[in-house]
Amino acid sequence: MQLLDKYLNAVRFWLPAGQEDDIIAELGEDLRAEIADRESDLGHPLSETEASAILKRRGDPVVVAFGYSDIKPLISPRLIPIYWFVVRLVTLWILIPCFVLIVAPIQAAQSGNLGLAFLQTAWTLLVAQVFAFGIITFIFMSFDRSPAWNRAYESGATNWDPRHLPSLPIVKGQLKATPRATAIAEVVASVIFGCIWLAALWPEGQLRVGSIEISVAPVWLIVRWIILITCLASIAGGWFSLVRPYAIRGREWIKLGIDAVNLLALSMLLLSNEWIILKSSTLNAQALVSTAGWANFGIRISLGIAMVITGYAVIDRVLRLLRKTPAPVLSPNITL
Amino acid sequence: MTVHTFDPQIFDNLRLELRRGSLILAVLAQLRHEQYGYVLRKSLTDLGLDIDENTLYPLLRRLETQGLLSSVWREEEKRNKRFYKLSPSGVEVFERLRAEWQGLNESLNRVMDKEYTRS
Repeated sequence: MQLLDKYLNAVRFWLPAGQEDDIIAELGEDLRAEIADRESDLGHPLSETEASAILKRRGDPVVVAFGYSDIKPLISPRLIPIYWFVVRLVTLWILIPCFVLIVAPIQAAQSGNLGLAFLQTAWTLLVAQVFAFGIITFIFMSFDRSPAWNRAYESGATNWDPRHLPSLPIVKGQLKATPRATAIAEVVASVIFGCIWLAALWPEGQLRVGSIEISVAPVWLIVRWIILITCLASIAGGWFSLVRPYAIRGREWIKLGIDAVNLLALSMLLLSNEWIILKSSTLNAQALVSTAGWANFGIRISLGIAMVITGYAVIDRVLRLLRKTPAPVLSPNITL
Repeated sequence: MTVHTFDPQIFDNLRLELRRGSLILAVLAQLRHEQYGYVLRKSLTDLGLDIDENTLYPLLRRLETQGLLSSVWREEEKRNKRFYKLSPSGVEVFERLRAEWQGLNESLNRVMDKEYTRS
């Protein structure tokens, strides 16, 4: 039965690395034995509702999987998906780009020694990462211990429904339903991303690092509307995935539209030669030009990479949309 | 008259703590003979020791990692099942734990009987 496969697949995702197959084989066998016993008691194959009741009694896949972890989490398993998403978002997608594109060139210009600048940037980045990780963990820990969240947790633990689990990843390249955590993460990420971009670009964003004042080049003021539209569309797309996780083709069309608009924005940006403008009252003109040159070069490379990735995503999405969605493949051991 | 009330959560937590160690002993005792997880759980339930699957399977894995159990996958009734039994060191640890448990049980009985006769 696909329901059991979906459940096992959801548990597998959260299991400790290297033990997934073994644990899933045993858990699957136990559930099949329980289902077979229940069928024998009732004298007929279980309906989806009856099978769903067995899985529901077994527990939320995240909670079941964390039972196999040797580490007792500071944050309850139900919050873990969102917690890891926020940690990854901040440490990988916000801090690293900021340090590589902004802090490193400025450190290089100020110290005049590339090696020293690299070490200073790496150290500051490390401190910032540790600080950000600690703050995020503290916020989630506090939230996890709040009575309001615990009430919601209890309610969620009894209200979850195995029938709403994401579809199975059938064959590489085919469409699959969006997990709820991913849909929530999409909405949160789009809101955060939108706020950061709006703060940076609206009306004429300026940032001061040391004695250097960084402002955006005019090209950004043209594409800011496009960025705002794609952020709003991403929020809508995330929300759509949350309320209609199985409307896979609809979600893919929305994402294709967003990617296409992003390609347009990236193309417009790449037509320009300058993306940030630096001003400084202390730095000499030559150093300022050199710093701006390196920073703009870094941005050009980043935009080029983003263009290639987005282009690939568009082609991949179009190909997947052109394919017909085949019937799901059941595992041979399923008895239902 | 004073009415004494207690938080049911406190009782549940204490009950869980009390059961935790006992369940390990019960699992070790049952696995003196080879069994697979589902049958082990049912046999414990039949003996009055209800154990949650989400507790039993991680516990079996932990005991195996500690070298107290050995396991083997084998086909039975056209299905692959994982059979567990005590390893030689598991037998030794079980016998020691059993002696410890019996001593503890006797002491506790004496303590509780004494308290009871006093009141």
